[in-house]
Amino acid sequence: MAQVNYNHLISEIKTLDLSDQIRLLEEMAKLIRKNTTAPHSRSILELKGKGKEIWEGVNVGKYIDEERASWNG
Amino acid sequence: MEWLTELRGKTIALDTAPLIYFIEENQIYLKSVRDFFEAMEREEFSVITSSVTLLEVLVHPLRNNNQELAKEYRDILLNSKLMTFEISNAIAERAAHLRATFNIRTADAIQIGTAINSEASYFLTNDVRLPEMPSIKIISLDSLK
Repeated sequence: MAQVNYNHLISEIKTLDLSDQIRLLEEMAKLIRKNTTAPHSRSILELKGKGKEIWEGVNVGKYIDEERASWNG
Repeated sequence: MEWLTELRGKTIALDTAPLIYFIEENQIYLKSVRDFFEAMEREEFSVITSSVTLLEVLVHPLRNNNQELAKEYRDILLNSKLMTFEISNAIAERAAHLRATFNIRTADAIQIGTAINSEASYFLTNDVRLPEMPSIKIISLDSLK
């Protein structure tokens, strides 16, 4: 990016209120993290059937309902 | 497979249930979730989720005192092409708006808030109770059978 655009962006950011500046920072951190992630060392396909025996007899819908209901204490 | 074609090039947010169905090789949903994760591995689309999914997948093995399995799940979830986002203040704020508007549960609001903040087009779940929302399309596994 040309320096002039960068400087313009910075001056625009300075006009945001503090909460929006923090939000922007979080969004940028997320974006940069996404773009700099190390090569994927594992495959999601490895999860197929992994430890399936411990899930036997578990009603997954009910399990998730109970976990989410537990947020209410 | 037609539904997967519709997802090409998009960002899809993932709820916990489809992931657990894949782990347990659920006979009803296995074909749908296997096709989905294979397409994800081929990078036909991007898949994101929130730390809520990580939490919910880990609780059961940890309750069963299976630390090794929990470690494996965590390692795969955090080092695969699935992007797991931590719950930021921006996501919390988005989730608050969703809860206030649609009266959905906090965990649901965080999952969907993460999806919307990541500009996901779809939320893949099996919760048929979620209301329709203008900014994201809900895909229920039951609707794919």
